[in-house]
Amino acid sequence: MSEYLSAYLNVAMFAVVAFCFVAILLGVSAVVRPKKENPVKLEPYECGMVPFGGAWSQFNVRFYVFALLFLIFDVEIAFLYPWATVFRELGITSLIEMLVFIFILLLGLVYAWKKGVLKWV
Amino acid sequence: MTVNGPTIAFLILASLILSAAVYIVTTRNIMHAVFVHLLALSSVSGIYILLYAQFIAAMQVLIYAGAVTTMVLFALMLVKPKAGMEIALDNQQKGMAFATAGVFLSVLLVVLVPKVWATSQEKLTPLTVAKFGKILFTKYVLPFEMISVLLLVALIGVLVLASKEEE
Repeated sequence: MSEYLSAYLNVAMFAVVAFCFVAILLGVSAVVRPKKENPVKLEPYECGMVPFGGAWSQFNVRFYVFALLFLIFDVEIAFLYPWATVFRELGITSLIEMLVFIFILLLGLVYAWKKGVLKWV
Repeated sequence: MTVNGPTIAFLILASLILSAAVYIVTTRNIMHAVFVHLLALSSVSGIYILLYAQFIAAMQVLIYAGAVTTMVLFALMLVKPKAGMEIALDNQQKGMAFATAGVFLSVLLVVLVPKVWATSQEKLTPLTVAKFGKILFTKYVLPFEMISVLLLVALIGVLVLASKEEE
């Protein structure tokens, strides 16, 4: 096996150990613990208060806009990484390329700003 | 097919992806579907690693497993929950769907199974991020800049839709 794949074997082993760790802990405690359920015990814990409503409530659409803004700039940051590795080699050209990339995305941010979605009302 | 490390890893990952996919379309709890979707997406990044595409694998974890799953959760949170989280899985088109899927499967089997795939003796080398970056910022710089236009379109689109929603 190549050196590359055996390096990722460590990652795979880590994932397997992490999975087994949780599975064994939960499994053993499920077998060992006493099960005496009553309605009060089965309620979700909400700082000791009696919970009201379901756990799933409708959210404001503004959260979605924030999530999408995050996603878009997440993609942008991900592209900064390969750029950073070759910047020294490619020099000023790649700097201009990246600035154009960021500028186009900044237009979107300015549009969002002007539209007032960044303000919480 | 020779049985070696990568083949075993591929089979494990492929069965994880497929069983997660089956769970997603059969479960009645849509929240569980989202979290199992996360398992499928992470397993796909494992496939990318087997294909020596490390950067794509990292992007898969960062953007699909991280951000897109968050987006799907947000989209679910926007929906007014009806009584409970159960969803109806069935409709009248079940028979049609089975027939179409069956036809598609048989076409795939007829076309793909007898095909002898070309193999290359060339040795695969891992695509490092530096190598990827060099290609991206020289040969493929125009598609790279197009990505930002695409993202801009998505951004403006969601702002227009969301503000319409609020009115």
